[in-house]
Amino acid sequence: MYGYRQTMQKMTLVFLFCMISVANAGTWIEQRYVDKSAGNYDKELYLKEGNFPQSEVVENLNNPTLLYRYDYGEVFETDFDHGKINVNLPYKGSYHLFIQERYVEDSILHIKMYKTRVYNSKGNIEDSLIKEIRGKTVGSHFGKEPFEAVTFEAVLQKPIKQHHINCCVYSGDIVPIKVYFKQKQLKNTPIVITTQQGWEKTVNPDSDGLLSFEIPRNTYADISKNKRFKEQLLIEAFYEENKSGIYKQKPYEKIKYYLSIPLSFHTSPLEYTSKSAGFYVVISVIAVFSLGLYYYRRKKKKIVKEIWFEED
Amino acid sequence: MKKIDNMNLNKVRFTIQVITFLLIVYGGYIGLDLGDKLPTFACVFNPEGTGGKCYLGMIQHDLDHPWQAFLGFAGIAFLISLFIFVLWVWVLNKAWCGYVCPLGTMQDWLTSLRKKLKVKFIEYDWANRESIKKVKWILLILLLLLPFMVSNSLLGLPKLPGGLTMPFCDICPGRMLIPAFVGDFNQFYIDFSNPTDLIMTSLGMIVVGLFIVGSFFKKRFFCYFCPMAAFQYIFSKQSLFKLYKDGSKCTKCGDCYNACDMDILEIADDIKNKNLVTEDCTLCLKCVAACPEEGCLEANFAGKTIFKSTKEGFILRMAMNQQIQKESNND
Repeated sequence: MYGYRQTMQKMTLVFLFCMISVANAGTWIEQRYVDKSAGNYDKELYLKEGNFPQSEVVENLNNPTLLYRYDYGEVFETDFDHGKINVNLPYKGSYHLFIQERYVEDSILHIKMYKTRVYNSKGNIEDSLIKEIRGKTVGSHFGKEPFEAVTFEAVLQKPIKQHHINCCVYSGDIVPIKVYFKQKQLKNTPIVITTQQGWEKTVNPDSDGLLSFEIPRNTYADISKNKRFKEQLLIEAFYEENKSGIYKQKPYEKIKYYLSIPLSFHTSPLEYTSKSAGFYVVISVIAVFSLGLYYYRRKKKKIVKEIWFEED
Repeated sequence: MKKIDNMNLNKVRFTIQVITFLLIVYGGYIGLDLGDKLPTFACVFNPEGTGGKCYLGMIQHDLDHPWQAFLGFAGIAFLISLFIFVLWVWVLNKAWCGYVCPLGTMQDWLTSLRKKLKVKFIEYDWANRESIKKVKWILLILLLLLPFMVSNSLLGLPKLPGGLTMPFCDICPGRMLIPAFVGDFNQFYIDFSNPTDLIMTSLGMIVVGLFIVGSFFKKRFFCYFCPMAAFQYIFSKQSLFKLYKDGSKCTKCGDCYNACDMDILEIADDIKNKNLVTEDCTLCLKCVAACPEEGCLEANFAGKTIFKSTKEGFILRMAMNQQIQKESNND
C-alpha cells in the first residue's frame, strides 16, 4: 500500500512537472555574439524554442515573415533561413525585430510573433550617410507606438528605477508594459514573465491596462566575483479572437495570438554603488578646499599688498 | 552697427547664455535635437532633457572598437562625426565656450554669486601657468587613447579594463551637474564594483567638489583644464569667427587683460599677431567691450566685423558699470 502511494506521488510529480514544462514552452529570438577575428564581434540571431531558458534552434517555420523597425519608424522585410535570422540592417542604431509565423492547426489559426530589440553597430554607409551626418540624440527603445504590420504587440514603457543607468534594465527596476491589438491598447490581457532562474509570474493589468512588474533580484547569483551578473527573462502574451475564415485553403474558427519578448537585465547598480558615499566625497572636497583657501588667504593677507582690478 | 558696438555686452552675453543653457539642458523636452557632435558639454547623461550631445562622449564611445573595425563602416562613421564636429567649430569657433557651454555658464553664475557676496577672487600662480595649460592637452590625449586601449593592445601592452571606455565622462563635472538641473542626482555615486570604476567615480566626485569651490573663487576655473577647449583649438584657425587685433592702435593699457576671465596676457601684450584666439580664449568678447581704442579689437565673422571696440562704446559701458556699482552700493 505504501509503495503504491509513493508510486502515485511520484507519478503526480512527474505529471505536474510535465504540465509546467508544457506551460513554459515558448519560442523567442536569441542574440549571440560570435568572435570573428581578434575581438571583432558579429551578432547572430536565432529563433529558439523550449522551456525558457533551455532551448533548441527552430529550423523551420510556417509561413514566416520577418520585419524590423528602425527608431524612426521605417519597416523593412527580410528572410528567415533554417533557424538563423539573416538581417542586413542598413543603419547603425536600435531596431525592433519581429518574426511572424502563421499556421492552422485544429481549426485554429495561430499567429505567433517573436519580438526582440537589436542594436546594430554597423551599417551600409550609402544608406546611412545622411543619418550619420545628422546624428541622433533623442530616441529610446521604450514606448514606441505600435504599427500596422504587427497585429498583436507588447510595448515596453520607460522603466521606473532608482539608479544612474538609463540605457538598460536592471533587477529592481519596474518595467511597465502595454499590450496592443490592431494598434489599440488591450486593457484585460495578462502577460507571463519567466526568468532564467525559473521565477514565473502572471502579471495582470491595472485599471488603465498597464502591466507592471519588478524585475526580481537573483538571490542565488554569486555577485562577489562578478557584480554585474547578467540574466534574461521572457515576456509572453496570449490573445484570442473569435473570428472564422480560411487561411491557405484551411478553414479556422478562431485565431490565437502569441507574442514573446526576451529581455536581458543585470544586477542592480544599487548593489555596488553608493550615492551617499558620492555626496560625502563632494561635500568633503568642498569643505577642505574652502577651508584651505580661507586659511591660505588669512596667512597671506599680512604680507601681500592688495591689488584690485576691475573685473568687467 | 553703432548700436551693437555700444551695447552692454555683459547683459547681451548673459541673455544668450541663459537661452543656450535652457536649450542645451532642457531642449530635449521640446523635441530639440542638435545631433551628437556638439563642441560643448551637452551631456549624454541627461538623456531626456538634452538638446544635443557632447562630441567628447561620442568620440570616446567611437574609439572603443578593435582597430580592424575602423577599416570598415566604423572608420567612415568616425570620420563623418569628426567632420561634423569640425563644422560646428568652424561656425562658432571657441564662442561655444563663451556663449553656449552649460559648464561655462554655471561657472559664470558662481562668479556672479561671489561678486554679490563681495568675496575676493583668486588667480593661478603665474609660475605654474605653462603647466596648467598642458593639463587640457594631457586630458585630451588620454581621453582619446584610453578608450582605444580598452579594445586594442597597444605596443604589446595588455588591454585596459572596460571601466575606462569613457574616462573623461567619468570625471567630467558636467555628468553630475547637468542632470542635477533637471532634478536627476543619480550621477552622484561611487562605484565599488571593481578597482577601475572605484577610482574613476571617486575622481569624478572629487572633480565636482573642486569645480564648485574653484569656480566660485576663480573665474572659469575649469576652462583652463578643459580638453574640449584643446580639441576645438586644433581646428580654431580655420574658423569663420575670429578675434582680431590691430596692434598699431594698441596702447597696452591692460584693460582687455583685466577684463579677461582667462587672464590671457597676449590680448594686451601681443601687437604683432592679428588673430588672437588662443587655446584658452573662450571668445566671450569681454576684451573687445573693455578696449577704449577705436577699432583696436574686433569680433569678425566670415570677414565682416560684427562687434568692435569704440571710444563711445567704452565710455557708455563704463557709465553703465558705474551706475550698476552705485545701485549695488545703495542696496
